[in-house]
Amino acid sequence: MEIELQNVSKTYGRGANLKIAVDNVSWKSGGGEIFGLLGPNGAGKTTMIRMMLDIIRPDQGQILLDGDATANRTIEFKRRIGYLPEERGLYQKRKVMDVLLYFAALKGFDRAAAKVKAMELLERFELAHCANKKIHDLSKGMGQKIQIASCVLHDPDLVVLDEPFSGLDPVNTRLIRETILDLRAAGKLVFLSTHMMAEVEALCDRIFMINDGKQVLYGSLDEIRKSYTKYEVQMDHEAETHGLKSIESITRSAQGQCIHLKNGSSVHDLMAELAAGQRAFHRFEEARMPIEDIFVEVVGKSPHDAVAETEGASS
Amino acid sequence: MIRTVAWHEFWFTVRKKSYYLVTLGMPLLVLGYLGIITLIVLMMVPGEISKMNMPTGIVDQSGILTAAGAPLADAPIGEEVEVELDNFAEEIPEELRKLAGDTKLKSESNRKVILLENIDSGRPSLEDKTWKGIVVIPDDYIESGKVEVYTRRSDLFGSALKTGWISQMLRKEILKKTTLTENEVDRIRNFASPTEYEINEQGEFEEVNLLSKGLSLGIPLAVAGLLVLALMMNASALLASIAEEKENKVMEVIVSSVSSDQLLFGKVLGIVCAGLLQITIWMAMVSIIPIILQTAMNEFVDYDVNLLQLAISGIFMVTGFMFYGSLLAGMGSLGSTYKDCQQLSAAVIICACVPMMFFHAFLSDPNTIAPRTLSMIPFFSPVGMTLRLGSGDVAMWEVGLSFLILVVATWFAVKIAARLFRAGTLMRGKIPGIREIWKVLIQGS
Repeated sequence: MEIELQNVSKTYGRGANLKIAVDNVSWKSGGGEIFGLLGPNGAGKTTMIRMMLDIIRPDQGQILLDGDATANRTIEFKRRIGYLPEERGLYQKRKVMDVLLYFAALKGFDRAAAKVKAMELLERFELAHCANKKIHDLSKGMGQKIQIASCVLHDPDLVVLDEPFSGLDPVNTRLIRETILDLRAAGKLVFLSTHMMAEVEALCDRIFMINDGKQVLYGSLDEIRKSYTKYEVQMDHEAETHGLKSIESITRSAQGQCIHLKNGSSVHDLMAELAAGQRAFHRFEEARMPIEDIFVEVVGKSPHDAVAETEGASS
Repeated sequence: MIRTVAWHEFWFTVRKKSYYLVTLGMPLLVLGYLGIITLIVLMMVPGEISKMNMPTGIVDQSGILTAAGAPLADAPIGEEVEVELDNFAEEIPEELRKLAGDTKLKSESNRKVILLENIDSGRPSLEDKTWKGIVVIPDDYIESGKVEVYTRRSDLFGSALKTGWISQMLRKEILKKTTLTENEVDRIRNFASPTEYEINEQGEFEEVNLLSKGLSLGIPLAVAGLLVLALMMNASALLASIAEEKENKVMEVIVSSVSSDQLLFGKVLGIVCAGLLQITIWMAMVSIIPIILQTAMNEFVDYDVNLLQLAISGIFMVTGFMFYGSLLAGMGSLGSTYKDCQQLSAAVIICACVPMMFFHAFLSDPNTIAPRTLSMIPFFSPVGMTLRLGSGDVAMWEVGLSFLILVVATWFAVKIAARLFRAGTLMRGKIPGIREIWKVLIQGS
């Protein structure tokens, strides 16, 4: 399955209350990849996911599914997706198996086959003994795993996971990470929205970052990180870097000096300057910027601050 | 998909303990309540307020009330006279009061009566409903203690024309005698026993079976009452289901699998089916009541089930369920919690109950302005038409027109509900105001 957003926009309210939730965004993703959706809370991620799944419709632009602009409005498409929303829950007073079978039935999945698959997933998530328990008897983490199970039970081609790791301990986080990797290996398109940057780095092939409804980053994780690459040089003293034309700024640390190159300058320019000036340095290495730092640099605040800010505002 | 949602709603509704309890226990409670009301109305309530000042025709074949000194001694035939009964007990000597038993000698309000030579001379006024009824005191009254009461058939409460005041008049005249026979003492001690007659469809007088009369009053009332009850019960289940999905945050997962319209129709359909199952069980229980009464009282109960009337009531019931259910789901979806949903949809439930508040008007004369109007307005017609159909002849064109209006209104209700539901499924926070609801209806999302 290939999904593409072309110049999609969505606004809420009118007049003075007008809010642009998503502003002219475009991206494309296909099967067999894990596509990361990043951005602070309130940036427009959920709106974009809802438009993609036809829960709400865009004001402008189109959403193409395998090249077809209306395909995401069909029941066939709805049957091919598995969705774990950020604001999620389960029928608290009902049994685990009943809930799983109902969700599978809504996807048109045969009841007998769904029962077998549900048991397989429960075993994989170490919850087979809970099949006949009521949801309210389970812990939060168990509930989270049941929701992920319900999301993949009907073998969807597109799996949309919004914050799948929240509330999970490290063991279960690893279990879900493996499940996501298995989905990719099976050729599924996994759409991952999360604030856990370590998981983004470990899992995502490509990312799309949105802020205030606008696209701020889009591309493969490697390309993006490369574009934010910095060079770390260990020199004898501060004066060694004075007068180097290719340097924009320097950040000092105990290990050495982190050099930021000017736009248009390459690592070769820096090396040539260092050699020409016979400046002594003991170590020169490429420092890949963590995705969390890229987030901070692009958005202006850390993902954790962004979450805390939003939670504070909503409470 | 609609079938999946409908089955899910139906199955989880009918499996609830509250559903079993209400389905099996409530009819007994309601029938007991309605039985008491019916009994009170038939036996004790003198009639409609409008009848309070209507005269009663009296044919005195016994001559007791027309003898010299009696209240109707000088009354001209066919003319209205007022009989004073307000100081009745004081006029009787004490020893005779004891003979009659003090409690039975009560003063009554004055009555308007018209003395008649025979029953036929009063018939036109009876048919015009300008009289309450006609009481015939037969010539063997002293021996039999019986009087005959004639009323108009459609005058449902008229059959309960009170004869206690006539008993008092007769008693007072008998007490004037110096010596009393055993029968006369018996007449003083006991009230006259009325045998009731009504004008049937062929224009002839027909004896009334009080039990049948009670059933003809009680059954339409019970059917309408059960419809309202089923609606309230299942509306509550529908709202609980919507609130559960919103409170437990399941709604977003569901609307990613089915469209909100499919979800709405599925929910309404499931609840309609659960409601109809409940009503079918109740109707089966109601239908055995005449048989139980017949066995218990060892008396033949003449009550024919009108299948056409029942079928029409059923169609109104199903359509009404769709109408109310759609509006309830639409309004209920705007709330975030069960309490919010209930507040938002309370008006719909109240509308369904309105005809029950006018049940007296519906049952006493279903073709007057209030029942006719209420049975044409879709918010009231499912219950209103059921009451009208059960209590008298309703023109088929009226039934057809009412149904047509209800169907059109249901179509609009479904459209409106779909708009509200689409916007409401993902709505959270405080209950929207009228302006916000209006905005949702206009904008559609």
